[in-house]
Amino acid sequence: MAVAITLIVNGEGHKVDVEPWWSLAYVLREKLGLTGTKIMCNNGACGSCTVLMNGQPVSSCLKLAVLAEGKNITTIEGLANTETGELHSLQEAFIKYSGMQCGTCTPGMILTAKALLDENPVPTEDEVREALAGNLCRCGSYKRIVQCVLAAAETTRGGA
Amino acid sequence: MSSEFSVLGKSLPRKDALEKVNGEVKFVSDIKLPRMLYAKFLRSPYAHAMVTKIDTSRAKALPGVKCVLTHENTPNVHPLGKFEYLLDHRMHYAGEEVAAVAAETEDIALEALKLIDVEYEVEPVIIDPEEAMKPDAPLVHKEYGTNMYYGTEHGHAASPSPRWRKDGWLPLQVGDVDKGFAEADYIIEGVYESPTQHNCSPIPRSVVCEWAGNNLTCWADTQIPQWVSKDVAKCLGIPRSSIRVICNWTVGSYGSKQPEKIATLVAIMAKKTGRPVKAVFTREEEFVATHHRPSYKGYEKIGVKKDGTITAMSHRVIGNFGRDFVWGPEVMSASAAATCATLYRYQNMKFEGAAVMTNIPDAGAMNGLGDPEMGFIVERAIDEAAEAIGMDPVEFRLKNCARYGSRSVSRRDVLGLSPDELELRPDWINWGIVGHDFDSLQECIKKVAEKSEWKKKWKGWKTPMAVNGTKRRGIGIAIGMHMSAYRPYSAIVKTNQDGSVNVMSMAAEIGQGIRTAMAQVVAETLGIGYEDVEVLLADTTAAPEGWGVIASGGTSSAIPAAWHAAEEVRRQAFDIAAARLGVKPDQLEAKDRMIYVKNDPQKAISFREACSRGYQITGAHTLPSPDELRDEKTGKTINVYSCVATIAEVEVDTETGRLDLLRIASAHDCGRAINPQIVENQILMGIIQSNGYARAEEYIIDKETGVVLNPDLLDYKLMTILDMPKMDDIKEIFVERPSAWGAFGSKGFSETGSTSGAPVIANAAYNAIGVRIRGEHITPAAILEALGKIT
Amino acid sequence: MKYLIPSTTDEALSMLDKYGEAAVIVAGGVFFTPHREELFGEAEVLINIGKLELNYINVDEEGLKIGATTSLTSLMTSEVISKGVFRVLFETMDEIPIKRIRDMGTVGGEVCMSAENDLPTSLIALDAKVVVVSPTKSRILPLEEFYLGYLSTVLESNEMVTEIQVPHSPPKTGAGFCKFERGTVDLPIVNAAVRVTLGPNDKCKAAKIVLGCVAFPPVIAYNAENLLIGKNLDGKIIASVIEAAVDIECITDIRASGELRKRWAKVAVGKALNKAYEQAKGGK
Repeated sequence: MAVAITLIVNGEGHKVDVEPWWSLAYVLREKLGLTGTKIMCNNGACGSCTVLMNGQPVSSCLKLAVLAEGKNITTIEGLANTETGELHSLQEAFIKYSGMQCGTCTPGMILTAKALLDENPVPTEDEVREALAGNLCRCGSYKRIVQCVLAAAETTRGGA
Repeated sequence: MSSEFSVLGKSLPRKDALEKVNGEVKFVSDIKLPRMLYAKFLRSPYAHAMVTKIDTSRAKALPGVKCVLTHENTPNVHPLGKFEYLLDHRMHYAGEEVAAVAAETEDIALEALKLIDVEYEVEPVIIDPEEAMKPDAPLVHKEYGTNMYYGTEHGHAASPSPRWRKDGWLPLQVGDVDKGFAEADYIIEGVYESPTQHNCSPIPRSVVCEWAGNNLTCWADTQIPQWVSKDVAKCLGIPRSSIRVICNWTVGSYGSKQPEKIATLVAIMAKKTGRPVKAVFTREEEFVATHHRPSYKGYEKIGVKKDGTITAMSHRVIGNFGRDFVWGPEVMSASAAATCATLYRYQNMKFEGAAVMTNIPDAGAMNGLGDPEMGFIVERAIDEAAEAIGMDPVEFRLKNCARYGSRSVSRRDVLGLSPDELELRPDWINWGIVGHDFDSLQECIKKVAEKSEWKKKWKGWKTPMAVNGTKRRGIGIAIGMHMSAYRPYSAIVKTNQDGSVNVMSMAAEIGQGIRTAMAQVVAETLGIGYEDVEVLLADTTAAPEGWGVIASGGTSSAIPAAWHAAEEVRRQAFDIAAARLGVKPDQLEAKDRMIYVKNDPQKAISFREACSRGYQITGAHTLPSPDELRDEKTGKTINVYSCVATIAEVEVDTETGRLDLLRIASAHDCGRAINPQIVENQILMGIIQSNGYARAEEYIIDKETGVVLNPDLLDYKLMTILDMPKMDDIKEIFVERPSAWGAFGSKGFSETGSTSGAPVIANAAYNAIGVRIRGEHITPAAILEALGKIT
Repeated sequence: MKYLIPSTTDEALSMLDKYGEAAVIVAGGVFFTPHREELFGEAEVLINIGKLELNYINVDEEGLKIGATTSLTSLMTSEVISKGVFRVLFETMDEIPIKRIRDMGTVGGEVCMSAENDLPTSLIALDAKVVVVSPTKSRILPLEEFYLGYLSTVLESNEMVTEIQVPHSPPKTGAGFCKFERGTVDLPIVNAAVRVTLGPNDKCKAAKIVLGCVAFPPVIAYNAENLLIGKNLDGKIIASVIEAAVDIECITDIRASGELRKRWAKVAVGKALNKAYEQAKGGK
């Protein structure tokens, strides 16, 4: 039996009818057409589907859509500045330093790193590794990903 | 190196980076079309069974269900030439498709699967390959008469294998190993096991099919669009020209994405319903219904003299290929040709390989195709041989590794085929030599030893680097090699009137960066900007013929084709410019978007002007059948390979069995690095995947039922960021020896990186704990077992 | 499937009473989606208890009182468990490597899931109790009595957990936790939590040794505990305590053999015991 909920995604409210068992990932992708969030394992083990809810990383494949009501959800599509189109420093860094190969883990990595940098703008390599511990990269780009996050932190610091 | 080039050799941002960081990238599983239906598959719970009855009436009656397929209403065709039918009445592994459903929503399709009533007659199951080889073993395919591949073309899509013996063994021999062993001072003998490994593509495969009249568009997450096109055409009985396969992204396939069967079933359902149909595998299906790396059991014997000469090497290998041997000849011949026959110099060598069928999901290509499997066996045995004579394992490998002039052979030779596969040569093998561009092993070994401070850290056999309570540190080395496919491939480069350029190629972007590298090569060739070139990949209507990407052939085949096509465009542009400038074409040069006279640079026109004057400049090129690449000096055939040398430091806790990788350095022979950051990423991929192979990735199949017990990412353990060393402790070393035939000397090398990582962990662990592990994994359980702390 | 959001515990209980086995309670929902088909296929009603005001961490003269929907992160970052014996709860959750899971998971969810997790092991070691309510009655029972086996607890179909209570410990008490997993990010394969209270001359007065994930329900090593009473913890005693603690049948599954679990359990008990002892010695 469908439930009418309102999801606030990237600053916009969306009214959508959902089944109680649908995950947030499913609703974002299939009902709202926001396919930037990728599903790799669908059981919370890989972090690819990570979105931010009230600024904190959440496994959207585990999070029931009905439980996401009323929270501010940020997906990868919402990271850049919507007015100016300016990319987030993490997005710039991932482009400049090649922080991806197949691209599946990338949105999850970037959003998780964003939550880290918002809380800890000057992380050490160990802190970056710990923050990304739950994000799997099958293509093996961990080293470059860490470089990207540290570079983004450096840029923000330099520019601030 | 990079200063002589404008665009080549530079770490330019990837062409696909922006869309991958802003969420715009659309994989096949992201596609949504109006009125699209969703397909799901019913799968056999039994590894070996006959479907005696199947009733789909309840499923068909469920509102929202639009199509149900079973063996009763699908064509009796063999996808990819495999034994099984599109939908079979006989099940050969637990998870094989029994039926397919297309419905309005995924939920309805899943519900419909539960309403299909199937009765099975369960048949005896055979899982262990050595059991399957016995004469009274249950047969996976009764019509074949045996579970051991014997080279016939019956039913399969693999290369014919004229040299494969009728008794089920693929032979390869040099000299007389009995004589060699008799002359040895020491003999190492043992059984070594390499495990299965699952490709574990990050995005489970998917296919979308849509018809418009008699024309089919098939979006497929595949590595080889050519095979999808060929196979769907064959199964449906339509010409390839009516099928357009578009592979916008092959997401992290690592050798495994071949969705031909699914594509055909989805195409049939799309035709029957008159609506687009999409099938997306779940993670579980991705584990169960796709192919994985075969496990190998290797009976190894090496004879060495005190001075380090290898007098004989004997390899007897049994590979478990699951329910079809399509990949058996490919993988086994690669193991034989590269790791067994070419990697080392030896006086005598004998190889025998068997590809055995069992009731488990198919085994097939995964990064490295046969060389990680064989390398994990050989490199552990080689290490023991070095120890037997008390020689430093780095020195031992330096002394014996392949080099210019040493023996080499290709896997086609081993199978008994000419390079273009059109000629059968069952009776002779074209032994060639290692050419100059593969003469890199010694350099790789020396550089990695230097970077790892080997001389300082390795304290000798049976001496760990350090002991601290229960923790012991060890260091080890391993080398490896793999082929790189230089084979027929086509490309088209066309100009736009504004001086920008498009490239059309059948290569697929897996994540390896081919779109980027191809654009760099074309831009460099034409003397224009990287940002002026865009590449259209993997569209069977728009791109000329090519197989896709496999066998590291992107840089070795697809890119040279594009390079030569760009050269053709350059020739035509120069003709136009020469006429305009009143000079001869050979007086011209191209750079910075200008075509200018070499010794009078002011005399020039822009590339853009040449394009608009020419109206349309198109260059096309097909790489010829390699026939043989030959060494200039000796005229002997050289085979295309690349190699790697890796040194790792590990720490083992002998109380818990836990192994930590502290440092790893890897020297790769990569021809010419087109884009250093991309090269580095590919090296990192090899390191991570081969670490997972040895340390954690266990694909667990029930020995009685054949059911895959851990088809999810919680229990199939991939390496996490914490399993790998910190940034400064991972060192990638590029060894560049330009190839004679690759674009600007480049060559494909990515898979090579997967060949050394597993044995290096084993050899380093041995240095730490003093006990050899010859079994499948270097996990805590295996370490504790080796130490006698558990059984 | 119906979706219901009760505002009070009574409302929730009457829903449970009405729907019984067909109802599933969610707070964080970590466990529901991936296991929906195999474990919750019969569910017809989803009850979201997020509005029941069970998100609290209180301390009174008896001890901690933690509401069932308190997230693991909330508990982990709470002042009240940052020191003393309760700190073992912080250490337990600190070892769950993925912050996203700690944010989403709840204390009640962890407690009700009789499966591979860490918090119940430590809670049992601290003599925690669980408050179980039904429409007609409320009962408080020791947490170790809550578990029957794998995925099986004493909860009736019309009952729910509302609170977990952790009593204060006497002075000179310490607690320690240790776990083993495959690799670096995983479910626990083996965990152990130990609490000791020392008397005069640092002789052990009371002890609780709990092993989790080696078997279900969690195992309390009574024989091993008895070996500690009245003794100083020297190397020999510790060795015999460890041997006694792991003298059990450990499960063998695809994750690990019973033998490997036993091996790891030995190390885990030893480490947890030493941590507890060190803390107890240092306490007032």
